[in-house]
Amino acid sequence: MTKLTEIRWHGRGGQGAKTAALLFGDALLGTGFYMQAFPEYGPERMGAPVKAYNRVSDAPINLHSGIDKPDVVVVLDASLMKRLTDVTEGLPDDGVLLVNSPDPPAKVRQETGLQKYRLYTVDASGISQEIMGSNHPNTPMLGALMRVADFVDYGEVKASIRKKLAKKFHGRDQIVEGNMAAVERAYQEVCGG
Amino acid sequence: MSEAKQGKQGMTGGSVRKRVGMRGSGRAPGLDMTGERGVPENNGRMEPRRGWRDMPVGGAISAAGSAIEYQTGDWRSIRPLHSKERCINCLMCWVYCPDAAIMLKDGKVEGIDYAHCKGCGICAKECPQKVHAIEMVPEGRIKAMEEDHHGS
Amino acid sequence: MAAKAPKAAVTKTPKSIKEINSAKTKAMATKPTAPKGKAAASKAIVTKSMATKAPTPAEMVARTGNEVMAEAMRQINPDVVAAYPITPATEIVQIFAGFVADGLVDTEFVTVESEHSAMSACIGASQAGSRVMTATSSQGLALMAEMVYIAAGLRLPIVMAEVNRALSAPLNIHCDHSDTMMVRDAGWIQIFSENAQEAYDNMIQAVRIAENSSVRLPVMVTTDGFIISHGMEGVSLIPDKAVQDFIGPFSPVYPLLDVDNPVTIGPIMFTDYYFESRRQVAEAMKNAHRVIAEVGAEFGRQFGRSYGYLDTYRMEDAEVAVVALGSTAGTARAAVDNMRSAGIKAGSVKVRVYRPFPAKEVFATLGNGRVKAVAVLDRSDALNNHAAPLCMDVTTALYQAGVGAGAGSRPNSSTNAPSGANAHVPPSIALPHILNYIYGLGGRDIKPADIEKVFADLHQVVQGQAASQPPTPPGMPQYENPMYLGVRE
Repeated sequence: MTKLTEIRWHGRGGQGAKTAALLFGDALLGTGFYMQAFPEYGPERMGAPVKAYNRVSDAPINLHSGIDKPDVVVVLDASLMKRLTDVTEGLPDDGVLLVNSPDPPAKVRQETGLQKYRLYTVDASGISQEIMGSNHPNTPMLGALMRVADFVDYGEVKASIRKKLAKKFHGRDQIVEGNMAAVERAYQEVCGG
Repeated sequence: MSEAKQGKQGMTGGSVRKRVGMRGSGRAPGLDMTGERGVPENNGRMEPRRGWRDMPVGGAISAAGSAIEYQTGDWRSIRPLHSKERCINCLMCWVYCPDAAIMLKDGKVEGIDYAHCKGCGICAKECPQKVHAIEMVPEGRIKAMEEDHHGS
Repeated sequence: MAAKAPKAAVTKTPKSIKEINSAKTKAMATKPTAPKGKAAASKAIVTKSMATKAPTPAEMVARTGNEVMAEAMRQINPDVVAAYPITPATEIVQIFAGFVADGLVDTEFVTVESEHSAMSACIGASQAGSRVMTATSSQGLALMAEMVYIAAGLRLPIVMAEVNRALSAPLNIHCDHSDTMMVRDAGWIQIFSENAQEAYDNMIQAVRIAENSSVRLPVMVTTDGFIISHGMEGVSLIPDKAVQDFIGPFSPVYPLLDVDNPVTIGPIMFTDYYFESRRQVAEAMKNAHRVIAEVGAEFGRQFGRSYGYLDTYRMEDAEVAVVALGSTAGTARAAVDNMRSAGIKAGSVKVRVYRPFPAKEVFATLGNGRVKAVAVLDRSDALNNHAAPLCMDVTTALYQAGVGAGAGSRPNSSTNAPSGANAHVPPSIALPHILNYIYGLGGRDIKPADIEKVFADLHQVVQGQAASQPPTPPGMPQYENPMYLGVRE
């Protein structure tokens, strides 16, 4: 039976939501999954809300339609949680909602009134700031995503991400190591509730 | 919406802020920190989408100034804070603001329309260096400043 | 950087079509392109995409449609690229410009001030004697439209990546097929790609098709804007040398830079000659039909993925079918599977080559008497209050071949009762009922559920016919073509 997982990313222009989706797709391809990764285009500028998507499957993917009912939603910027209807649109009640936030899930639920979904939070921005000295939450979010997404083998995908980053940042090992450390930390620190 | 039909210059600060849901002003001396802005859920749209029979022909947008209904304030990651004390009302910020987000009253700068300000920083750049009446501050710091001020 | 000097010897007297077809230049002789005969060719006409050897993720790299088309261009290494940016095609030439700057290609990259200039420069360069490529979309294609027709009329084998985007007004940057349809009569070969893999494979084949001596027509390879152009998928790439070997060296016809054999290009032709010149173009399009299949079969033998005119899915016993161009064909396959699970004998047909239109193949697939109702999905509107582009071509193909094929063949509809000379002849082949749906204009999404609704309509039509013979029973839904799928009423 073909298993297809659909993921939607929410971010702001300039935060790397598109890059995260593309990197995730690329890494998954490297571990034997068929995949799609695509952004949604609208008025573009730094700060404007943007969305990106992934499809992951163990069989060739025929669908080229948009993703309406994601199984997983990843939110790269906690301020987007103000647009709760937008962020949770199409997510089933037991769907996974992963948010970049320094607050634990309980506090996020309290502040937003969110009751459904399997909510996870990780301070991806904080991790990125501490390890790499800049606010680039997308790679640590991949670490957290792999923890909460039960369909990927963490070790394999992590190795695949390392390979892609090594190619992208050829010769700049410090950047690769920093990103991988951030991935690992987010994997460890993500919590649900 | 009769308010929408008036030019931005003619509007009083009060009516604009009332319509876009702002409250309060001048939390800290010299700084305008009003920031209650509407964050419409429907991606900036104020009404449900129409069918083809209910639309103006040729794609015409028949309400003048309707861009004001698209609230882009939450795109901001840094915010201009305006000081009335330092301001000399040269109105250069108002001239250069690409979003018409500088609010005037009786020919003087009244404040910033945070529902539409995208935080580009042009106003702060155009304010004469010696005057320095506008400062760009990260949004995160605003929340902290507000919390400090209210002791919450 | 000077353009490469023409390699082939050119005779002094103008070449007739016959001479061009029989000419044995050095380049042509090294390639095994001898046609295998009609029987073999017709076997290759309807192929399942990637049926011979579908690549696994391990053999793939992650690329967007634009990236992979730029990669194909790098491997093809054209002599000249002249292009102007336009969303969503910009990245193709932007990435390629990076290859030029990095010295990975020998291409002379000409930056121009508009798309009209881009095609003009391409025409000049091609006629000068170089292999030329470009990319554009929508308004860019519209702006260069007069030059697009000229490129075909001058018989220049230019290859263009065309990213399908809606034409203004209103202004829209998202996918529909109106731009490609706008120039469907221009004399360009038009190949629609369903996904990134096909975009890559089609670009490589396009060079061989365009430059074939019996064709010499420009080719546009299309992808769906944003959906495929900006969508990242797994793609299996071919090694550089294998691509170079497949396309072979370029042989110009009447190159202007061959100063020892001067020619005049682009004359005015009056009422006494224009028609004959255009008849030559029609003949080239006719030859293209054969060449496209040959190149697609050869591509399959060498690289494991065969290509033809159509891709059929579960059509062996289908009673209802949808026909579509581009990425929608993939989504349609998902809908077909859902309908099959519900017990409906559904199938789908993807038209890969839109120009020249594979009329015989469409008839062979849909006019076999088994298929009772067909829905043609068009991502553009011909605004003729009648039928959208793909539907017009499909319907004409079915009717022309169907009426001629067997005595008394007539459309399987109560409103088209046989009359005149055929009135007394009983039907022997029943042509399917045709529904036309216009969808997805301006990037409006089309989902499996939308196509399942279409199948439900088809099923209802079929039930109505099975329930009673013509005339149309009262209460049977009257479908007024074209219908608009997914528009807000």
